[in-house]
Amino acid sequence: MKLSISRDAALPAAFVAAVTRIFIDLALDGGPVHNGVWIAALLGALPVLPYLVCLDMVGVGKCRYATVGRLLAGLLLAATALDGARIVSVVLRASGFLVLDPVSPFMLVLPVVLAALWCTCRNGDAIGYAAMLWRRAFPALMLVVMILQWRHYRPQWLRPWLGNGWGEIAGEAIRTAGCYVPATSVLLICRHDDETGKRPFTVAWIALASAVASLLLVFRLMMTPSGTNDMAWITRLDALLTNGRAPLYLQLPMIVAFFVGLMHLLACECFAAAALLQRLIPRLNGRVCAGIVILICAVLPFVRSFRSMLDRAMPWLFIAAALPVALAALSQFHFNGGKRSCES
Amino acid sequence: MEIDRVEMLRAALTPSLDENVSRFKTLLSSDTNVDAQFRFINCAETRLCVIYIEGMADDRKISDFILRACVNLPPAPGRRVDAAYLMEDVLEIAQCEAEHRVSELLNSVVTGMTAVLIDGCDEAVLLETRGYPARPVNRTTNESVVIGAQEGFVESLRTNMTLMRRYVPAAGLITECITVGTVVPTHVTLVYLRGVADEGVVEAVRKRLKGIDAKTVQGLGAIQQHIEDQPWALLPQMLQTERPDRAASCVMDGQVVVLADNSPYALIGPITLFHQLHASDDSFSRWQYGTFLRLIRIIGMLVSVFLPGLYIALTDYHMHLLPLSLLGSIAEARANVPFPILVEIMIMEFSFYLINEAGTRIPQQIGSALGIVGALILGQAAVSASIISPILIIIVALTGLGNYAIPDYGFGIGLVICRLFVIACSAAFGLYGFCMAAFVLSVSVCGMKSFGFAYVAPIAPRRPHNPDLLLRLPIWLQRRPMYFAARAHRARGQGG
Repeated sequence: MKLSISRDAALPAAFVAAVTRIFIDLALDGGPVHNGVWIAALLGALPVLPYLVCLDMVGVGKCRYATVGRLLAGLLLAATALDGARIVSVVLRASGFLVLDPVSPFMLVLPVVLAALWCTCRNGDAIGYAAMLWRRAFPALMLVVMILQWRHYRPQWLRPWLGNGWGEIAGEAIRTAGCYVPATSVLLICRHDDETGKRPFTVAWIALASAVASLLLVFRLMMTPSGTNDMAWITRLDALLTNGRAPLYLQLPMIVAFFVGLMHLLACECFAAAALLQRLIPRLNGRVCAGIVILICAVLPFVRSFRSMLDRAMPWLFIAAALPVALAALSQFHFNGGKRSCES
Repeated sequence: MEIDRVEMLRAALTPSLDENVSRFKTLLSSDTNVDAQFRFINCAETRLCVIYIEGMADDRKISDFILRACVNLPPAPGRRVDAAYLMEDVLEIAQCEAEHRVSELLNSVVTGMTAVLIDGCDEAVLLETRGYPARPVNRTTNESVVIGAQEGFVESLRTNMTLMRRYVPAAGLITECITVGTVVPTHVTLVYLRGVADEGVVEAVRKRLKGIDAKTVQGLGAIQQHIEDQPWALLPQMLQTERPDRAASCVMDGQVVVLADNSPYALIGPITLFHQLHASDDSFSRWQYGTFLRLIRIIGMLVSVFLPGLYIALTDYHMHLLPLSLLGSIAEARANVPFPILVEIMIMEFSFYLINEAGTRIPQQIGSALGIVGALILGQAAVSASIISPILIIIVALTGLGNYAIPDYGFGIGLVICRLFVIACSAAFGLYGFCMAAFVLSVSVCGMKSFGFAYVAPIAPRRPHNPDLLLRLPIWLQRRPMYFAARAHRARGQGG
């Protein structure tokens, strides 16, 4: 089985993954939420645009030197698989909190891992088209959330606008850019065979993704005052899902949105990592690649200090990925006399 | 013996009438088959043998237009009695052809045609005399509509083809015959509109039909399983309809219709998920009504798949997500129920489908008894005995109604299985399991294809389409052809 995805499907998959990844990172995983995060979500998109252009230039089959292509695929594979493991750990903690019963972590991880394996084996188009469907359903669901909780949002809590200042916003913007790396690695492996023949516009894509993530963060900030959310991960999750003050029964659509978004993110990253692994070792069957990647994603969350190690690496992720991609794209451009190698 | 039969089938006719007749007698096992008829007559001093199957062929046609025309015919000077002469000057049946292959002659005779073998001639005349008893065109039984045509397909392939011709009176309508089944042949007809249906799709359907290597193919149900893209998928990737008006509408949209002998319905492909939610009423009603009814069906489908799972997740794991008054009434209703919610819901689901299945098989005369059994014994008595809670009856009733709102029977059963999956996941992991099940189902459905076209298109992926797919727009805006129609037709449509 060959793992592949059309660009038509890869763009919505990456969109949903990027928005969810940014939101989870800034509103939940990255420590206390400060008022400037929504600005960081917007600013973080700026360095990603040239990164995506470079990624497009060195995509599958376009790289002039096979070794360079393999190195890049290996780098993105590592980043994506590790991020997949991080998402599994988020799912593990969130589901443990929500399922309430004392269920063993293994039993909580097993179904999501099986679901991710099943989805990866359905191949990229299924994941991408499901993300496209979710991209259409999500605004309707968020509209329901907002209507239900409208009276409980406090716009005054958005102030001070800059939170702890530009320094922190810059740091979070770099984190945001790092979120795009695993979420968009699926774009490296996509096929350009759209039936419509139209090439989707990357600037519009990234502007929309960052705007949606930023908007969601604005609503998150209106839920609880930033001074009171310097607290544990599980309490932040509770505040995110319950709003703190709205009646508990209004949580339902938010929980559905949260979990389904997480599963889309996990499926997209697992698929991308498995497909990158297959690019590196073409003899491997797609199902075997999916199995290996998902095994890594399932086991790593149980490794002690895995999360703290990833937390430390997160701010550097973008730089670590963007530099080699940019160098590869530049070398491609230089050696080819200003033309793209395989398209010329 | 079997080898001899195969060789006989492969052979062609010889000029010897006796040899040919003996061959047919062997192939039709005339010593044991009482309905295989061999009638020798003289026509212009030449011996003929009329071969037909009693009951399959129309006796009146044979006696009036074959026997009466041939018997005692004086010899024509300078004209030899052969197949061409009989067809041109003697036989009075419109549809006839000369044939020399034994297998073709035999296959035609067993379907009710008549073969006339001629002494001294290595060709026989094959005459259209089919006249077996068949059900006349009647009202549809499973796809009832309030407004619209009431005719349904019948078991006779020829009648069904005629119905299609009547609903699509266009010269471009092609009815292409294919035979499937290596031992017992079944006649299948491919119906499409030339210039509107995409040639690639037509070729794909044709290739898959010709590729069926089963010994026997019993009707369209078996054919569907042979030619679908993903036979392991829960949901059907071809549409079954017993309504010629609906099949005609699909043909005009560029889809391909497959008809088969002895199947009182048609198979249609390629389709999308949304085609499964269409009913003929939609196009006969005003666009506002059609849109409203489709929305009801979409909600019915979602309720059918997700409501019991959501109920189980909320009441078993997330009681805090229920408003207090509702939680109170659920708790009160369940106070005396001895079973967990999962068992309770499974009992009700099983009972519901037991009644449903029994209702389908039960003779009409005692059908009313089933309603009494269902309503009184399984509903009222189960609640009184505290086996199930009243609120669960509401949930299961809504679920069942949602399922019945779906026009396609096979699709409805597929959704029931999906519902059981959602129930199992929700029972195991609450809302976490519910979301996971919803996600897995959505990816599975999005990964499905019907003759190469995405099942959830034109929503995912987006494709240009007639705005009569998901919701209906006013009829004058429904000019854009479907994305699976022929490219040239789409270009004409977009041009207005």
